[in-house]
Amino acid sequence: VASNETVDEAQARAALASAERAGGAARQAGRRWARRYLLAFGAAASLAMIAVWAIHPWVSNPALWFGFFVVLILLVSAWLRRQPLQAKPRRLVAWVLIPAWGVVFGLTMAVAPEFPVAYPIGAVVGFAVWAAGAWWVGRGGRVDG
Amino acid sequence: VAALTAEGTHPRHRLDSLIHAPVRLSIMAFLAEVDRAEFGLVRESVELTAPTLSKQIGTLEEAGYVQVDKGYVGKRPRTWLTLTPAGRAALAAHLNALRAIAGPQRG
Repeated sequence: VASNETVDEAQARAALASAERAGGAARQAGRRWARRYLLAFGAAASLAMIAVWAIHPWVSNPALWFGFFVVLILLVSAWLRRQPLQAKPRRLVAWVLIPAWGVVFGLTMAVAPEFPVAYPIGAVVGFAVWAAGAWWVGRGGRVDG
Repeated sequence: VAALTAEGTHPRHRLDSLIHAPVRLSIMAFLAEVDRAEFGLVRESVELTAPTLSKQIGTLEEAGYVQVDKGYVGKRPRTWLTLTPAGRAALAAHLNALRAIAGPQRG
């Protein structure tokens, strides 16, 4: 029994080490891709705000802006579905980045009709929110939480 | 999927013979850490040839542990792999059995 269990134990440790190596490689790849996604979302959101700033004197219909952002979200989602790896930082996005960016976006859109300079400021601050998330994920923060 | 042996109280009886193969264990451990991964990325990460990975994925898919989705990026065909909930549960049970066998880590 002792010899059988010795063999079992060694095999089990080797199998666990092998699984840990594979999981570690996945976590590392996941962080790398998640960082890219967060930066891409930040860039897309900020460029959208810059675009709004550029054309707002000629377009004032809120429904058009709503449509514009819906199309943007669909394009980013389609882009994400085509990427080689999906390891979304779910809780970080759900509980921190989206609310924080939502506040920046909401304030920008509320203030900008009176003070158009708020558009570029909102774009920069909004990008900073996503970049901070990318930095956090890149330094080893849990991808799933 | 049957365990390595059908009876007994030793933790090895809770091992999943399908996952016990080192290559399949590595594939599942990789997929467990992500939502979805492209075939080529898994192949590079677990250091397998495409035919070998394809064969192992076929086995895991047949067992219901891995979901395979095919699509295109531009004109290039792509295959994405996802660990199913059944696969995640089976992997977790298998790893728990391995930990029970391995026992506490010795200094």
